[in-house]
Amino acid sequence: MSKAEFSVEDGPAPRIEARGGWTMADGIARIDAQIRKFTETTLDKPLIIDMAGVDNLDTSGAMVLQRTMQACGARADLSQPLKGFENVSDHHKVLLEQAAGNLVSCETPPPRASWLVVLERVGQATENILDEALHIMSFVGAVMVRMFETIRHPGRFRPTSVVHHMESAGLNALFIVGLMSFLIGAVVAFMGATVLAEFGAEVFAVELVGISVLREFGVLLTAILIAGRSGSSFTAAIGSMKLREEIDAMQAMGIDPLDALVVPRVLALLIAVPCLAFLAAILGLVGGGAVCALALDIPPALFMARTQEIIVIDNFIVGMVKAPVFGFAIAVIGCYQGMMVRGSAEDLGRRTTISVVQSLFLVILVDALFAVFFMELDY
Amino acid sequence: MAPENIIEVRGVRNQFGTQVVHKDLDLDVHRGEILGVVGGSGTGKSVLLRTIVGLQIPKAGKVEILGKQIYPKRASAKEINEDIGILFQDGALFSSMTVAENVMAPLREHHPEISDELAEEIAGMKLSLSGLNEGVGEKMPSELSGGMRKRVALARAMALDPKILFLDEPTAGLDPIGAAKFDELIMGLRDNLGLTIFMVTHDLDSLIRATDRVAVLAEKQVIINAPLDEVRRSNHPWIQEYFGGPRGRAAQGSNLASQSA
Repeated sequence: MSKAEFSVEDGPAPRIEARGGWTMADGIARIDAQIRKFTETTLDKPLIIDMAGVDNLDTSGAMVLQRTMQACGARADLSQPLKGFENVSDHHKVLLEQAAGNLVSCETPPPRASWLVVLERVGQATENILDEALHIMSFVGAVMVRMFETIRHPGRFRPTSVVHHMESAGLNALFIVGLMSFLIGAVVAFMGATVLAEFGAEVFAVELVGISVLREFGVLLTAILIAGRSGSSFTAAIGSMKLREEIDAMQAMGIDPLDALVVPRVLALLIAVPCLAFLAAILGLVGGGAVCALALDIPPALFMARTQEIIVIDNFIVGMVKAPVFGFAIAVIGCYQGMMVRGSAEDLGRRTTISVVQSLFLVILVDALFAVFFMELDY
Repeated sequence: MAPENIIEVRGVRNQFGTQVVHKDLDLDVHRGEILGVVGGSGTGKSVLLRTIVGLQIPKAGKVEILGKQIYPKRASAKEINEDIGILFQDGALFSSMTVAENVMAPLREHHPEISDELAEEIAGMKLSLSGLNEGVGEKMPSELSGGMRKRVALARAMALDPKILFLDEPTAGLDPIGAAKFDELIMGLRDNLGLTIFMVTHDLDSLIRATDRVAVLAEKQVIINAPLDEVRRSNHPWIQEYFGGPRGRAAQGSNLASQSA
């Protein structure tokens, strides 16, 4: 194999003498720029290409030769594809003829002015947000309808599926949720006590832990964890079913994908998230109590007594009431984004990300609304 | 002159768990031929293809492509990958890239110095050679029909002018007209570019029209590897059923009719 080379005789009748291996492997890409430059200077003059020295040719090499030839005069005369070539071997003839008929470039369209693109993106994003909000609301409506239908026709209920999702989204998350809330309880107690100690009010750490963990942290952190853990898995699972046409197959069989895929997941989280939130609340208290006992000299008995005395049950109720709402939001967003997957694996990844971001946003938004609501109620 | 072996498989054994797919399998592919590989479902046609290109590592045996060893000792991947192109069953186009970018991907990988213009021109020509129109380059793979995806995949497989083309059921899922055109395309490539083609197929029409030789996989081995007429004369019950069945006879009959016409 020898390298691709060429030499040029300029003048009224320019002549290219091609030598060596005109293949990608022998460096077509290397000499392409030189040939282009030559082509620009000799436009519209009858060109001769001498192929005597070419010992190897591939489709790319043939393409470059034909392109050069056609740019210089013998433009697109398809009846004589070999016009202008000299000393072509039989084997190379076929390639040159083939290249002559297939000179097509897939040029990418030039990029538009950047400010236009920015404007377009802003507009598109705004429309998308509004559109998606509308779609999610109608999806929520559809899911609600299916759930009430399930109550009316209990035969439609899929207990196996619900239990399965409760296991993977609830039971399997017990350890991580428990550990996390224990640590959060401990951190709140510790940080609170450090600040409160300056006022000699260390003992109020008990109230701090009790109220914050029962009312907010337990349920909110559980929801955040489940959104990351189960919301994304719902989207990925339903999305890949969508890509493989499994959902179309269901519809063709008369199975409503909302019944088969969405309702069980929503029900599972409706039940699992409150259970996990309860666990989180209790273990948060335990974490706070442990720090109080070990580092702050508040013995467990005192911690228990103060918690019972001062922390009213209302705090606990306020926390737990939010849990099923969070569960519903996470499941619905996860399933909705899964159903929206179109076309490619790329879209599946994008939708999974959107699913987590949206459900986190929604959980925190709902939490804020609840806070305002309960404040107005003086609860 | 004895034909030159471009692929040589000797004594290959493939096994998944306790299930043996290939046992002492031998196969020769000659330079410049179109070899059709047939066999019942689950006889390991695709596994054989994957073994030859080095995607599946066999338990024992020897595999050589163009005199370079794939197994037991693997020659450098780059050296071999420039010489082979693979058309996977469903195209396996990269879904995050446009059609043109898909075809340019192997070019840019193996020739990083290539200019954008040249890459676009080469990609355009390969797409045109595969029978696709202008303008398809900007589309995403998910916007294409099954037949177009296969053509794009063929263009991508040919991007580097490979010496051997591996096709996994190239005509499956195409309509008869599209399938016939695909056969012609493949025969044209072989004639014009001197390619060797290894084609796993179930399409009897393609087998009859396009292949020079047919290898039949059964009983964990290649039981026969010969020109179609010779294969059809074999007494093996599976071969008899395959070519003697209603579809086999129909395909044969229509081909004879078109030849005499």
